[in-house]
Amino acid sequence: MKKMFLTLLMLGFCFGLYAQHRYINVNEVGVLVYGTGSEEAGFTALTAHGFRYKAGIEFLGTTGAEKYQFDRVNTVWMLPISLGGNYVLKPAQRSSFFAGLQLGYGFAFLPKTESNWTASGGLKVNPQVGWRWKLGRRSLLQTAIGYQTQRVELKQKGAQQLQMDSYIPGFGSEVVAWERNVLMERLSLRLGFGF
Amino acid sequence: MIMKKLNPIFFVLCCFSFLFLSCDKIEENSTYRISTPIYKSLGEVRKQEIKMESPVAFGRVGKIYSYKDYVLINELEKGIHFYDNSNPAKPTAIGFLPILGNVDMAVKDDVLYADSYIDLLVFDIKQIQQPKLLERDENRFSTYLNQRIDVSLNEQIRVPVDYKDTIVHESYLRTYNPWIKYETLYLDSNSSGSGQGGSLARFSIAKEHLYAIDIKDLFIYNVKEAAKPRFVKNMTLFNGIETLFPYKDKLFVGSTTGMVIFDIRTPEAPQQLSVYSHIRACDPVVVDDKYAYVTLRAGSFCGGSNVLEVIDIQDPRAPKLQTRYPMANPYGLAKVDSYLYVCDGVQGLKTFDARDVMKISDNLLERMELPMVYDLIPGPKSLLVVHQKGLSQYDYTNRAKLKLISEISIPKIR
Repeated sequence: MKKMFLTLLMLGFCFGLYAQHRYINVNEVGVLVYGTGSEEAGFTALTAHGFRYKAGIEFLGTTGAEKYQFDRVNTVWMLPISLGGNYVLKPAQRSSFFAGLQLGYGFAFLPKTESNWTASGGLKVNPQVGWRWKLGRRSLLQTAIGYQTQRVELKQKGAQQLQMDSYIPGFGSEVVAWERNVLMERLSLRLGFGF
Repeated sequence: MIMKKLNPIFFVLCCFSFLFLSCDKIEENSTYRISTPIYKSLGEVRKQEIKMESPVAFGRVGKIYSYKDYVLINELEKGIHFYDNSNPAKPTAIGFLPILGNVDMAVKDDVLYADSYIDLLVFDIKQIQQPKLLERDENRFSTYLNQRIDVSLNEQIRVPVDYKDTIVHESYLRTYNPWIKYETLYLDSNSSGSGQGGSLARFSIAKEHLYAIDIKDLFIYNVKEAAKPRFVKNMTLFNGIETLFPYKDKLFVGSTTGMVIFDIRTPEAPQQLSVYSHIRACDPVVVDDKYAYVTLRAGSFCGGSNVLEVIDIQDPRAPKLQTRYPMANPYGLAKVDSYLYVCDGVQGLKTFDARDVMKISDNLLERMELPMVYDLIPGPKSLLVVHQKGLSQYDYTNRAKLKLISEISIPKIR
């Protein structure tokens, strides 16, 4: 009840601020990488909506879809929902450095091949810096480099047979419960278009 | 102005530093029901006479081995069941040879080589009803079921002779960083007069030599004179060696961290040609002229993930990953003509048309429902498939359509 009240209060506050300020929308695509191989690269597509609080300061709510490759060959899809802001160093100039931070929660979804596991999401943190160019009176293009962390928790469904020897299964041994708590830390590279 | 000059350098520095910092931090929390051992001294075990007993129902099926018209089925740590398989539709039990601590075996010219804890035992099986122990090469191996043994204790070494169930909790933190490359491992082929093991074999006979592995060593015996094996040498490789697969002049060794290819044209002195590294996972291997097929399996002992990797070995000095397919829980595998059979654990035995290695997963022809299937041998008369409930034999005259011809079942799983 308390959490719901706080959430409603925060949303009300945001909408209140939004009503008084200019609307901003930035849509970004990019990659989440931690190596040079294709199995070490994920994908990110986000849409951010918010308002310009004052020149150079923006508040945004972000959602979208992100695909992570982790522990070399595992895959998980995330639906992130986050809140954050950008600081634009020289908002009046045609191009400017900017820094941003997004904090939120990612909901996890596993591919069908991982039917023995269930996944739940976790905290997402994404600070980033970049460069922004004005394309017209309202539109903009931006590119950003960031460090993104996303937590995901995996739980094995039911008990699974386990080999006593490493290459022969069964023999009365089994994994009764198995949980994997994974913190995925990635370089994020994004290209965005906004208005 | 300063900002504009710094801009490219700043972004490149950010890019590289973020990339090198990136990783997966994985906290594993597991609860297992495992079997804990009941011990005896190795001295006591060695004193026990080993002679063929009447056929008994088996409890825990291990490796299988096909030799002439016989099938040998290892009951893990207990011994070997002998079956007459001259008619695969009706295999007949011959007897049970109780070898405590037995995990693997190989046969050449009617001589059976079998391990017993850290000893290598040699049996004359000309009279298959009455195998005769010819020799016990004591303290040959230094590990047993991946556990290091203090060989200096000799007769005092405590070895497990039975098990009881226990619940164990395990918790640890590991980091996967793509920038840190992992260490590795490798396999050979069948010679005339010898039998045939599965892709999970740790004993293999090729070029008149018996190759055996424990967790980190490769042991070589000259078995030209089968009844008098001559120990040649052991080669220390690295930790995590699991399987041997001989093919033509090469020996492929599978480990928990990769595959090693040896040239065995000089069988007493294998030359390492290359090492193909992969993540930590259990790793059986089979090969043909162009490709090695490797199954990687996740598990508490193996870590890693469940995939089938196809590795181009046309240049055995520089194997390279061709492609990779997700699997459920793959164990042993076999390649027959252009067909690939994969024991995919709980998902059963899968038959793939592997003519195009880039489309193997698109060409799944058949899936046989079997309980935790884990190894197979494409024998001359049948495809022998071992699973948690016993041994099934299939007619595979039509490679794409297996036909069940017989089953030997475990009456009750422990």
